[in-house]
Amino acid sequence: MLVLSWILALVLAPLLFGIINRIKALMAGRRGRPLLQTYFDLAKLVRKGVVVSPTTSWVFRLGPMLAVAGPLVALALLPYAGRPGLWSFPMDFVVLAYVLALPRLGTMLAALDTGSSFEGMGASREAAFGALAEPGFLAALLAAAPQSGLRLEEIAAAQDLFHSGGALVCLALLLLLLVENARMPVDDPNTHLELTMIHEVMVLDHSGPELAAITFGAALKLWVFAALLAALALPLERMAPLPAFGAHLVGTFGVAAVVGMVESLTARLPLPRVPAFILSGTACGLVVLLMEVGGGR
Amino acid sequence: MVWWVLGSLTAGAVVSAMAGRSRLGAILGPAVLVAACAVGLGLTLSNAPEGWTIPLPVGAGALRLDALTRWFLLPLFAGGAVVGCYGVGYLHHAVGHRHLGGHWGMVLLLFLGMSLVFLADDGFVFLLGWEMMSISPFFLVAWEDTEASVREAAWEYLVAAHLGGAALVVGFALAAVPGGWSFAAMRTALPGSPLATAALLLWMLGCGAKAGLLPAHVWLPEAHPAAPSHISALMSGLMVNTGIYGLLRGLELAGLPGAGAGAALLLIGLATALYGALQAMVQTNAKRILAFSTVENMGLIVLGIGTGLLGLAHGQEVTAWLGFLAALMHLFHHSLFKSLLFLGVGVVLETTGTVHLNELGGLAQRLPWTSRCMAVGVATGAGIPPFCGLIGEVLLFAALATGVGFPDATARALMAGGFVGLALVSGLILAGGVRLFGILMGGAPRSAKAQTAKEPSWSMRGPAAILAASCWLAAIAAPLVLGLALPAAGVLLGTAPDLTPVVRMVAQIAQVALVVTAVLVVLFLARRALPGHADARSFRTWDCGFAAPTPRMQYTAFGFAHPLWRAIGRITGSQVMVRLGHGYFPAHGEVVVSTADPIRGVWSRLFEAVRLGCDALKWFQHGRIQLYVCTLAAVLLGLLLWQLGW
Repeated sequence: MLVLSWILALVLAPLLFGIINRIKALMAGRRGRPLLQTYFDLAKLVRKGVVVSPTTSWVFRLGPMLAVAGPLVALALLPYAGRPGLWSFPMDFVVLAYVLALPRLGTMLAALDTGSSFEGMGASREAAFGALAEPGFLAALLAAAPQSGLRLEEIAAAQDLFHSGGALVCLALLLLLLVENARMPVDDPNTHLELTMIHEVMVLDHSGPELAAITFGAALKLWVFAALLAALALPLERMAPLPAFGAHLVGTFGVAAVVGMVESLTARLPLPRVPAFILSGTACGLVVLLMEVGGGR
Repeated sequence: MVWWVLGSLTAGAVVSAMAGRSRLGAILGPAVLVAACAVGLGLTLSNAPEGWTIPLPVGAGALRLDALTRWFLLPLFAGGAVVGCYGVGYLHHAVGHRHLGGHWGMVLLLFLGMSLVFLADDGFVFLLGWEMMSISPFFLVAWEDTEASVREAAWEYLVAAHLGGAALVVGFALAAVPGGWSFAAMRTALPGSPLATAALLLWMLGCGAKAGLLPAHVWLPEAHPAAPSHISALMSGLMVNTGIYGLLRGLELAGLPGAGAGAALLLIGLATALYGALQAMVQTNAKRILAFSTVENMGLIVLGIGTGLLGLAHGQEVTAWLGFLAALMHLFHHSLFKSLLFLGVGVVLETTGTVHLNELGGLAQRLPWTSRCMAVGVATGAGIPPFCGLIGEVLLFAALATGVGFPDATARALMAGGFVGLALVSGLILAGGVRLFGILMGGAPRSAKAQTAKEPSWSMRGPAAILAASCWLAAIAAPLVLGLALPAAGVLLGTAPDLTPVVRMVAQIAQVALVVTAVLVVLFLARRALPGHADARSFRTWDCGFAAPTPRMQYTAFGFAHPLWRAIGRITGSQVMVRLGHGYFPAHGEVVVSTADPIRGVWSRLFEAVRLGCDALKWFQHGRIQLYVCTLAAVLLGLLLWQLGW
């Protein structure tokens, strides 16, 4: 079951982008691009050649590998369908956060390695927003942790959407998912103007299989966040294995649908106001943490 | 074996100082250092007997090698050997015309002092070692003594070291009142005595100044960058450890204090870590960035100690152990990666002549070895797997997270606050590390100096590579390292509770590190099979339609930090002044960034006062030998009369 869940994650992760785009198209009254467009893009990119700037060095070629490696390892830490992942140990949620920092590190360093002012700008914004989002993510998960344990598996089991602080924790994680995965209202994945981009501007110089790696890594990272959010929101541990498996899958796609709806309904924030947006996500987690500190576990 | 170490360091220091400018002076010191460190490592890891006495003119001094001492000697000797090799290459330009023998003599004296501090089993030997260790860096920092800023930094170092040292002397004098100067006597007589609190406070002051804790950190970002790079690595990677050691030894001698001291250390540690991380984010001199990163890491270590004390005060043994283990492990990892980073920046300084980020760039291409080593150092500092920095930080998070379940509400609030603050610090470290590496190594060279950078000799590349490999090995072999840290924490905490979950957690994190490495290797091999690996076409960086980009248009060091500075960084006191040109075709505009540390302004008055006081004593420095001899005789006569009971 565990192996099956990994294979499904690897196969289905690019579908999340398709779902988000289809929801956006439906809400805007368009037909939208094919649901499988990301797969077509990946297949095309893998077969293409690569153009590399003479300014760049080994750092630029390493970036895409970090972008895939981080989410790949993170998958092994993720609890699945109410069961523990391959690794399950106390404080694994902190290790998850650090493993998920690998793609950010890789893309930022590769962006600075190109010497482009636009890509430096993207890296600068990503660094700032990533740093500010870190306390929110960890505080929300700590707040969600029950007294009995600090494993992701126990955190996921203790929380669900309609139970005590569960709604707030889930809201915090949803807002931080938008920040970490470069979605609206923090970043606009569809913008055509380099000045307003964050994630997209950092990968301008990548091409061929390396761009494919970054895109696939981004899809996997979104999958990790969405699956984690679904595991927290749904009472999977109380279901039989097979229904729980199905529910987790549907929940993960559900998160993507929510992201699509958020993107259809909100406009992109001006960049100086993004820290306040991140803070609002952090505040949701902090409120739950404060309730625990005040009342004891 | 301990005599071999101490004896060779002493003899080496004297002979090396006499060797002067000769070729022998350039080689003897580092050779003795490496040999002494090798023997010292053997001593640290062997089952050597625990105690010795040294015959001193004032009576027997005691040395002791317990688990805590072993833990601190390990990075000292390992780092010393590596840095010694590097120094030979770093100073090869100076052979023949600078007094290298004296320089290395002072390095040996510094190592002798640090070894004595760690090995001391009575207050006198401790203070003797502390003084050697405080004096010698003054001469090492002042190596480039033709530059006014270096002289200023050396002076500030000397004043700060002695103000801290004075606090320690008074602290030990107070601690010696109930039982005597030996540590064994203090251990039995001091706990519970009313003097214990006063002594402990003074120790915290003296050791906190050495480790660079807020607000006594101001000398550190001045002195560490001013020194030659191998000395910066020694000071920032190894010497700051003595401050933490003194604090821990003081806690052990005076009896572990209660919740108040724990809360105070937790808050001081957190404030230091946040302030250091923010300053490291906005500074533009690479060595100052690293010095502020040292301040931040010392903050994290003290945060761990405070958490441990708080856990102990509330009867939560696992939290106490987690806190102290986090502090000890992080200290070891910090020694590795901070030495590594200073050696890397030393290479940059050696080959380009500058460490200002805005004059550098494009070095990843020109320095393939050094840039790879620096990347490992930056990733280790940020706790990125598969490197060892992750272990200490997760232990620290674990200590704070277990504290959120305490029965006491105040402790819960402190722990939760510490957890969130630590998360912010860790986010800032990653941003700061990317900034340091990305601006320094990435992109196109921002000046002609960086354009012609070349890799130095192997004596400078090798040590950095060894440290980089250790950063990875220490993560993979984390359970082994933890095995050495456990008895060291036991010196402070006594018998351990059941720590199997902690040991298993560390083993699992080591597994994660191993798997990350394996995944990267597989991806690397897979990449070779895909198109575009070796046959990539070369074309200039995408310029977004602007046809004439120049290296000057790249993001600058402060520009990169600007979004964070605007959100939370103004507390660092750095300011930006923008003057734009006017008219339809503005020709000239400038941005001035000042990154002065506001806390330093407060202290500089004190430094100034000490300087004035010293100047006032200059009338005595008149150079008339007959008067000096007369003074000596008068003092000796006075002492004699005092001894006779007059």
